[in-house]
Formats: sequence, structure tokens, C-alpha cells
Amino acid sequence: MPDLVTHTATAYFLMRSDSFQRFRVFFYLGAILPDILARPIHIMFPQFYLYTIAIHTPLFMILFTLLFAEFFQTFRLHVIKYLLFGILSHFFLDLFQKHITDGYYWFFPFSWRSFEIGLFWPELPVRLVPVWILLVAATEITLRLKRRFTRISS
Amino acid sequence: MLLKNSVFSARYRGIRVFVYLCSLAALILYGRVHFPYVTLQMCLSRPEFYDGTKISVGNEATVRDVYKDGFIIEQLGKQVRVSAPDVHVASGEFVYLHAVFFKPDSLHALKVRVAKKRRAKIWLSVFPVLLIGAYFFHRFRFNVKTFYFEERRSCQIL
Repeated sequence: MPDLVTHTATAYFLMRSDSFQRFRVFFYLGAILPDILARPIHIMFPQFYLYTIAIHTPLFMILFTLLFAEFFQTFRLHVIKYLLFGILSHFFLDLFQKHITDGYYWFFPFSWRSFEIGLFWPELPVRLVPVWILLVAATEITLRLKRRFTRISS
Repeated sequence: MLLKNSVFSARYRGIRVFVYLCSLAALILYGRVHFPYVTLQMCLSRPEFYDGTKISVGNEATVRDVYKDGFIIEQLGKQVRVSAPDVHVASGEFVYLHAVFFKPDSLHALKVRVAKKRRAKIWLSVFPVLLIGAYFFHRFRFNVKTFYFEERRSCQIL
């Protein structure tokens, strides 16, 4: 996995438009969900590693999304849609990593074959975290200033 | 109207939640039981059987001691000697290996990768979780009576 700052920054740029304002939080959540469900167990209790294999897989995430959406009375379909697209953005970034051990089991439980494009090691994006933070901050400041100027001039 | 009496209606919510939970548990157990690859822990529990087997080692393996011709890794409280003559590692670093297991408890490394920024990655990843968690609970609150998340009035965007 790239670090969660990279995942969140990607989600931020994809969802920054005002038209996504109401439900973008679900996209952000989806963008970090595979890792926040699987990694804490994996890191804090490595003896349970084999129990966490299923978690970071598309099928598990789809079922988890359906479960999570049950806790929303209204706009359930929006919750499902935004969460799933967020999860998709997460898996899309993960696809570009390389490992010397096995990668991710995209077709679990139907196949144990793993596939990845192999452009970068999982720890490499950590070096770019300051760049993501600066880009997000610059975008946010620019948009807010632009909005303020538009308000004043109108 | 279509949803009102279908399996997606509120009437069957409990059953749906139960089915989803069971499916998730089944997937977790399936992953545990049917994992097809040999792990270091399996080799250490049956060294005779797995002698000469190629394995991958990841899962929080850290370097304990470094020698001229290799190093010692620790995984799940068990230490294993790794022969890897031309590899430069430091104590405390996370490593990933592709290696051959030899009884009773040693490895011959075929490939070694040191995950140098792994600790930084773990700690950095905590901040987005806190940020998104705070944003989510700023937008929604959980109603313990109905067991539903509700959009906060102050944050409603129509």
C-alpha cells in the first residue's frame, strides 16, 4: 500500500469539485478503508496475519460497503456508490506497486493469483508526502481566495 | 415503492446485516484455512518436512543482529539466521525476503528488500485516519436508538 496520505491526497483531488460536497466524505473513507480495516490488525497482531488476507480484497470490500450502508436510512445508494469508488481509487493506486513477496489477491476467494504493474516499492510514496501536502494546501488556499474575490466583486 | 416491500426494505435490515457479517466472517476464515503458500512459521513448526522449500518472508520481520555473511531476523518472537553475504541491513529494519528454508531454523536469501521508510509510513498514515474520522463525525452522528448514522443539521447540504 502507498501511505494513507497519498491515498487521501488522490481522493481529495478527485473529489474537490463542489458538486461532490455532500457525499465526498464517503469517497475519502473508501480511499483509506482497505488499509484501516486490515493493517492495524496485521501490524499490531502479526500472529493474525493470515486472518487479514481476505480483508484487503475487492469482494470483502464490496460486502463491507453493503454492510456499512445498512447504517444509513436515507441516501444509502449514494453511500454505496461513493464508498465503492473510493475503494476503487485505493486499489487502483495499489496496483502500481511491486513486492518481492506476493502482491494483492484481486480475485480472492476464486483465485490466489496476484497481479501488480510494479512501478514502485510500497515505501516510495512516503518521500512524496510533503509534495502532496503542499499541493493540497495550495489548491485549497487558491480556491478559497478565488471564492472570496468572486463574492467581493459580485 | 419498489424498495418498500423488497428484501432491501427496512423490514429485513436485521437479516441483511446478519448475512453480510456471516459472509465477511466466512471470507476471513477461508483466507486463513486455504492460504496456499508456505510461511516461515509453518517451516519452523515442521523443519524436517519443509527443508529446502522456497518461501517468502514478510509479515513484520525485523533484523535483530547483523553479521559478515548475513543477519538474524525476528518474526512473531522467533529468531532465524539468514545467510545473505552481499546484503547491507541494519538492526531494527523491516525486511522482506525470498529465501530457501533449511532445517532446523535458517534461511538462505535469494532476494532481500529492506523496507527503509516503513515505520514513517505507518505513523504518517495515522493522520489521514484521524482527519477523515473527524470530518465524518462532523458531518454525521450515530443515533443509538435507531442504529443509523444521521446527517447533522448544521452540515446538511441539499
